[in-house]
Amino acid sequence: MKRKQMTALLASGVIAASLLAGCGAAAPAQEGAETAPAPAETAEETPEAGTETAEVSADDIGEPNGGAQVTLWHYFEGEADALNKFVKDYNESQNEIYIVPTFVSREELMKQYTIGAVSGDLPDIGMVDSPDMASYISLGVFADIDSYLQEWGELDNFYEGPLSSCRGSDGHLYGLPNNSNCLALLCNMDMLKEAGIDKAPDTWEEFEAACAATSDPESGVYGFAMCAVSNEEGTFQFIPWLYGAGASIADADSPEAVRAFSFLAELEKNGYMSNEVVGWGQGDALNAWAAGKAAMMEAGTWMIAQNLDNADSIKNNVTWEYEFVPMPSDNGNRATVIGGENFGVCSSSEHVEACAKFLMTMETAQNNADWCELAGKLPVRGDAVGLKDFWTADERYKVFNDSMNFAVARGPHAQWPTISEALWTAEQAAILGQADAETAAAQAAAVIDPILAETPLPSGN
Amino acid sequence: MKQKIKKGNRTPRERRRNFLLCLGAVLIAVVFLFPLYWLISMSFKTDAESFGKIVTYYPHSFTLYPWRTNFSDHEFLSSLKNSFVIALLSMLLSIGFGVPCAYGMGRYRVPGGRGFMLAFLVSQMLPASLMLTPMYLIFNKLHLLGSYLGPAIAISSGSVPFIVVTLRPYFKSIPTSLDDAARIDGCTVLQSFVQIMIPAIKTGIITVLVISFLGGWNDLAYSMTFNVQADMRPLTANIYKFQSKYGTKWNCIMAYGTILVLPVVCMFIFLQRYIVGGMTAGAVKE
Amino acid sequence: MKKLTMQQKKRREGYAFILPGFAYMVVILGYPLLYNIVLSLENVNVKTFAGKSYTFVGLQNYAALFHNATFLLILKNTFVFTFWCLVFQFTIGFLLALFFSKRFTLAGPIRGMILVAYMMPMSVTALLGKNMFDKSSGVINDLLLRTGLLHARADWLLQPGTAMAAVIVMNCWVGIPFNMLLLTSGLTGISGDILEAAEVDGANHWQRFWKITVPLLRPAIMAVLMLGFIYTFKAFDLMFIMTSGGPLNSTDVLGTYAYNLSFKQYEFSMGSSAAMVLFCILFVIGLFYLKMVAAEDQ
Repeated sequence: MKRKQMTALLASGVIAASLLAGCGAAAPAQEGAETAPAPAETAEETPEAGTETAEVSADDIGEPNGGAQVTLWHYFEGEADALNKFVKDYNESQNEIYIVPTFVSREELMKQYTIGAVSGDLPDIGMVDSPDMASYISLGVFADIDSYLQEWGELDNFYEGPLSSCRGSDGHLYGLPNNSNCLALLCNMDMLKEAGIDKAPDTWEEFEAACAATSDPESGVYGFAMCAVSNEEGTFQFIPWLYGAGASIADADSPEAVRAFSFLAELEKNGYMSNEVVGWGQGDALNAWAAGKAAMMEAGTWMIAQNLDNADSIKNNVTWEYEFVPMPSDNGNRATVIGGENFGVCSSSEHVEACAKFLMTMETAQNNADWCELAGKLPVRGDAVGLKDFWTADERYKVFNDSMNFAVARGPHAQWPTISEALWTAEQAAILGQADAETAAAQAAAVIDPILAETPLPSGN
Repeated sequence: MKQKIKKGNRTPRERRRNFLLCLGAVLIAVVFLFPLYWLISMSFKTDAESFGKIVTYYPHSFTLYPWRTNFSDHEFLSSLKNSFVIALLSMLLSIGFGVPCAYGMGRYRVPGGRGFMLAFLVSQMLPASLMLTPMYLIFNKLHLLGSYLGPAIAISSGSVPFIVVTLRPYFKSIPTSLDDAARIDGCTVLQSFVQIMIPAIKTGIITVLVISFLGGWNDLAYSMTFNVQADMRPLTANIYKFQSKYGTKWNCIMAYGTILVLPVVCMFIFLQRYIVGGMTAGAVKE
Repeated sequence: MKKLTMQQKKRREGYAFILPGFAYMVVILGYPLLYNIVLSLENVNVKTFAGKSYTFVGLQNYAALFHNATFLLILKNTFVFTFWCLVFQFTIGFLLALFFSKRFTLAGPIRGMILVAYMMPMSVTALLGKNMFDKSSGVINDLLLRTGLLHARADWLLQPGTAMAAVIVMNCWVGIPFNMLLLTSGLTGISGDILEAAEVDGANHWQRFWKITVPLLRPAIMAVLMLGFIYTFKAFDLMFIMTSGGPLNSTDVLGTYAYNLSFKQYEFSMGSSAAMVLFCILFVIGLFYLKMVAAEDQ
């Protein structure tokens, strides 16, 4: 009985207390003022819980240098420490701005940019996945820094593919690419050899034959794994097949495009590829390959450093010999797709020029080469590749580096997300047998063609 | 009053009935708790086992690594604190505004009462995801971004109507004799509300306390959108860490889920007995 | 000063209790609602936003939505999902609430344990669902194969029909305890004396249930169903994480669709229009509920 009375007291006590708090309109605000630190807008933002809980401390990024504080948002995970180190050096080298990097996960970052476009509340410097950049430029998220970059005089050294993704529809540059990657075929050579195939496939025919030889759907083993999930990753992995067949996004219902859709559909139908690919992200596909469930997979540059060479990841699972080869070719067509991240200066920043300067420092040939070696990605400028033999000495990176010669950029197009959705939807429909290849291709074209009729893709796509 | 069944003097029939009911309850529990068992057992598996070809029903190679990954996060403690503060603050706001409102709606006949009710329901009808942008604009103006109060207010906007809708029938069901008794004793309106009405529907109150606390504890969208700073984020924000371009780390996600649910379960187990108590009938009878 | 009549005094008291909460909600949610309504009547998107070249377009967005096959599919999905979730979570939740209101040794502890499902963040539940319904490494397929209920692995999240079923199952796993909890609080409010009196009068279980329990619980039942409908109809997290609305939009519902339009395709006005459609449907259901509440107040 006593206990019951106690709870009754407790409950009513809580309510009485909250009632009091709720009486005046000012009360809740006061209540918050006690627990919440002041909104972060001043240069010296000191979190109430002490510096140990803050994401970055002065040890990581250097003491305040007297410059104006600018924020940098990024979604580097493995490379976060290296980024902080680079920022520290930069903070210590000048006193115009003091950069504070903040990690925001990719999905979240996209939402924040969208809300920021409306509210005007953006970081000063922001990282963005290259195909998304055009939309954000169109939304006014990024500032036009073309004049500073032209003055810089080093733009000619950049590869056109990555650089083009920083261009707005007015042809001006709104940022600089930071790193590139592309896709290649990763083969479990032990599995291939066991099936009597000594050489990794080079054409679609050889690829199909290798799939046939290694697949055993009964025991859950397939020749090939890829990612066909319903987001940008799915489109990213589909483009090498679409362009490899000789088609392009602008003619998504051409016979060549239909061949790409039907080729993947046949892989699934013949039991060479699990229909689970429509639920797999790229990491999931890699996990399947690393678990021995697939002999070959469509793999990205970053997987070498992040996974294959990483003991915390799959390094110790992969006990077999493996080899990277360029994406297989069809009738002499060979294609892969460009991925990568860009950095831009946000339009709401009060320090656009100083931030642009930081971007230019970050992407000098030497810094770009150092950064990409460390991150296991491909440089965005030709003269950076020449500075190190990292991308030519390691056979694995060499495959990716060479593949950049036939890599296709996505967009840039302000409505890329809509185009992309049409592509992955059609791909899924074909793979799952919900539509035949012709219908799937026609459905994709029905969405894409009107968009491109209004605003075409830049030439070369 | 109800007489308690004492274990000693049960008839064989009662004992058989008790056994059968318990058996049924255990079967129900097995079905409902299996996903929970799965969550916990996954959290002790290695990466390879959690994504293995063979489904294992318990961790064959037991590891604490997913738990270490979660706890070694140097922001863990501050996230834990943030979660508690946000949940508590949103609970207080929800209860403070919701309970009196439910009382007023349940026991007073005022012109426009249905209009109020409609307004409360209406507030639940827009998808939360589309409230983010306009709320962000307001909080930006009020300098509530990067605070605990911002997410707490946003979350309570979901809990207040919930409290009004669920508690209204409870307040309504309290016999008017109780008001009259209070008035004769010289209670003011506020006293009778706090000292008599609220204890009378204790079960309902505890239920909404728990549910509004959980609303804050489990929130992800509001806290993450309004608080970008790492040191202001709640525990739920960590889920993104294990789901990235580098694959889904099932074991770490499951350990994270267990960590998230543990404090709430403890709190709930403590409160559960009061919900079962159900003293409402007794209080009214006097 | 004029003396207030009893009725006026009562009204003032009533308003004093209601208005703070009401004002609070209006302050927080009035603007977002207006914001969405206005946005849904314009043509703000990635092309018109920065240049401020958007205009008032009236109901054009709504007309476009209802001529869009994908949108109609999504509308259907939302209703299918809500209907089955409500049917299962309410009936099973009610049965469990009744079952655990019986007096037996394990009633309390096991009821408490079942509620744990409700306490999990939806994001974890959704991930758990994604894992358990996985085709090759999921435990559901493994169990079904072992018990001989299936002879080959089911596709679950990979085919439209089964994906919807899986999403419904996971939602019910959360919804059943929620319904049970609210109905249990209602049941404990029913005086045992009334039921005992009825028993003495010779009413059997069935009669007592339909003649006493259900009528007394009616307000609570209606509140539970109403809230259940609102929360289920605007479901978001579950699909967003478990299936991303796929495969082929088969588990896409109004909540996820509106989000995708606004935040992924930057079709801000279309996103708001889709959200307003969701809003209007719920609004009609809300009016219906109020009518029933009012009828019962008479």
